Amino acid sequence: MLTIKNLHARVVEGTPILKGISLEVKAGEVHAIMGPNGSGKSTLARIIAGHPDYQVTDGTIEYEVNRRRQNLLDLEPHERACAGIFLAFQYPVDVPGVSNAVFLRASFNAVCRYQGLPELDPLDFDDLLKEKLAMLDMNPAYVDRPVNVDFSGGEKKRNEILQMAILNPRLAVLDETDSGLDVDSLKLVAEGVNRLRTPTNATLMITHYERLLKYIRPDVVHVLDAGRIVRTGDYSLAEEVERRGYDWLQGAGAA
Amino acid sequence: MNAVVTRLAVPDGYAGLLAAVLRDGAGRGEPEWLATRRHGAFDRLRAMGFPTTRAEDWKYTNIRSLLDATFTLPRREPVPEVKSLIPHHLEDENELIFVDGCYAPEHSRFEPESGLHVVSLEDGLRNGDGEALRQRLAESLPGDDSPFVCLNAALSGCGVYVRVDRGVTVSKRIHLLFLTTGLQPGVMVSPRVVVDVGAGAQVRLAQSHIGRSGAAAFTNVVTDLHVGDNANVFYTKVQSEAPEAYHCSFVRSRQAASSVVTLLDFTIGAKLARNDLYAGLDGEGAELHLDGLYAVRGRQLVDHHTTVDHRVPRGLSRQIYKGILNDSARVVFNGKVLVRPGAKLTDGYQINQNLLLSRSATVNTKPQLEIANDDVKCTHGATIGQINEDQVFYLQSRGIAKDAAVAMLSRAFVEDVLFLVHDKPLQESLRALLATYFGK
Ligand SMILES: Nc1ncnc2c1ncn2[C@@H]1O[C@H](COP(=O)(O)OP(=O)(O)OP(=O)(O)O)[C@@H](O)[C@H]1O
Ligand SMILES: [Mg+2]
Repeated sequence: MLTIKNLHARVVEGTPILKGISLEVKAGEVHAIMGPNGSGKSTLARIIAGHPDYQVTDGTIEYEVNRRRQNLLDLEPHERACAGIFLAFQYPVDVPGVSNAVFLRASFNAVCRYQGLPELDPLDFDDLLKEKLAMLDMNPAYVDRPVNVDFSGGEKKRNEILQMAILNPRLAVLDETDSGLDVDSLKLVAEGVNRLRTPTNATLMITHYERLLKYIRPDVVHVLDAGRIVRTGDYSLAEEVERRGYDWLQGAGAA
Repeated sequence: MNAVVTRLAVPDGYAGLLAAVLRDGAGRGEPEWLATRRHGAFDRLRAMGFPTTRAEDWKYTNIRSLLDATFTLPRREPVPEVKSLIPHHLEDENELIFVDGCYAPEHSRFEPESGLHVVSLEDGLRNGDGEALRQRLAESLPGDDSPFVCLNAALSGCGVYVRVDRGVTVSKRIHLLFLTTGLQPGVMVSPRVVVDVGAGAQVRLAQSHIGRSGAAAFTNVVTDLHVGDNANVFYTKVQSEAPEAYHCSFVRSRQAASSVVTLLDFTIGAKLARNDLYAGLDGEGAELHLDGLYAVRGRQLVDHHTTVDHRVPRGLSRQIYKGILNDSARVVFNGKVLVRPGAKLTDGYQINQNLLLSRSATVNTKPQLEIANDDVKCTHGATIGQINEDQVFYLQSRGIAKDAAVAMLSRAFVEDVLFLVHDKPLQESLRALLATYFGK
């Protein structure tokens, strides 16, 4: 589904951050990405989503759904979203003056239009929204509040998962969605993610903690360091990182 | 070295316009005092001339192209269908429609309400309201020394006189619609609106200026609001003139004790727009809400000059002017808050905020406080900002295309001003009009 080959990237006209990342995520798989602060995890996630701050200097990213293969780097950010890629932000952005309801419906309908599906009228959309709110145990009053404004850290993360539940993506990239969540919220978020786990979908989870991986079992675990993947393994690699930290892996070079 | 030119002569053609207005007025039985008034105003205009950009109040607004253009007076002609010109048609209101500077009763609809008197200026001068109106027009008001107010006094043809008796709550919004169809190219429309609101009365008024693209008209309007004790007035001005039009407007409001006045100035049209506004809090405990919203693009220029005048104690004023600029558009905001020596316990607030969608757009903003006593609470400020790229990317990452994301964020930027419009149908119509700015 997602094939990254030898990806080199830098901040536009700035210093290199990613220095040759290769990664393949197949439909039905869950991959976890771990790694010390500043190793480039969020940068990778943002490049997948098309963030304009970064420049890819080498390498490719291919995305394939419904047997259609596309060069992801050719697509605008919104086209990537419409094609089924969802990034849950490490730091969700406040949008004063735009209510969650307006935002979610605009987003949902934009994706529908792109995919050639009929838009939902406000009432039908309301029903969909109510169902997802209940699933995530969120207060319905929240939909009238401006997007993320004055939300607690945990509420923001939950809001990301709500957006994901509504857009129903093929490839979800979760950037530290577990950070700042209490145990109950973590379980709810994990449930939300697991619900989207189908043989045709895939998930790329960035996390520092093994505790999330207890709820969402990854098929593959990667450790990123200084812009390179230094080790790839199965779930036991996450356990080992939890026990030993990253020191033993640093400078290990490509695994 | 050439002498500095600070004044521009009144264009030759204007004398001809005055002569025609006087001739026409005589034919229609206009009272003698009105003709005298026209002459007087024109003489004052001649003596002062029009300002160049050397004049402090006109520093950023060059009106040479306006003075170089040739204008004609409105001709009364059979009016075609006008509905299509009214984008924000509102149900359940009283509408007085003016087409190319002439009152069009056949398109207007008005259901009489007791205690409410609405007459076109022409009729008002002839019938029983003549004396009250004469007195109102004879009063001197701040802004009388403005060249465009003089020009209006000399040439005004159409207009409305609205009077609300004391204690009366007017149920329907009164909407004055000034339409320019483009059928009379270069028409100069000089409406005069006079509103008298009795003590304890309540009324909602809207004044819209709407032009069809291609109508290179010049609207020069003056609106005077006289608000009695404890009265409540909600006045909205909507300027959606044709892209090639000129628009000058002077709104003057004077309010008595404990009255509440809400003024909304909405600007989206015209090539060059100058909006002067004077709000005098003349009675103790008066409350003023002054909101502005503008969205301009291309080479549009909008110049706001506002004065909030706290003359007596315990006045409260809240002013929020917000706008969006794209392309090479220019905005001037000059907002003065005056607190007179006796105006103790004044509570004043003023802010001007601008969102620039393009690097070539410019804003010259100058909020000013002039406080002559120390027993007041006043704050003011101005901001000029760009769209937040993080927010744009966030919306894009949810499937919303960049243009739509920018439009959504721009609308959000001015949403708080729209939110202040408590008249919901009007709020919706303004929102719809604003959507046209984003090409929808
Ligand atoms: N837009 C940017 N401008 C400048 N530097 C950047 C930018 N984005 C990332 N960087 C730098 O690139 C490096 C990697 O950052 P990134 O956010 O990808 O780290 P991370 O692995 O997600 O870290 P954390 O675990 O703290 O979230 C850091 O040194 C960071 O400062
Ligand atoms: Mg990060």
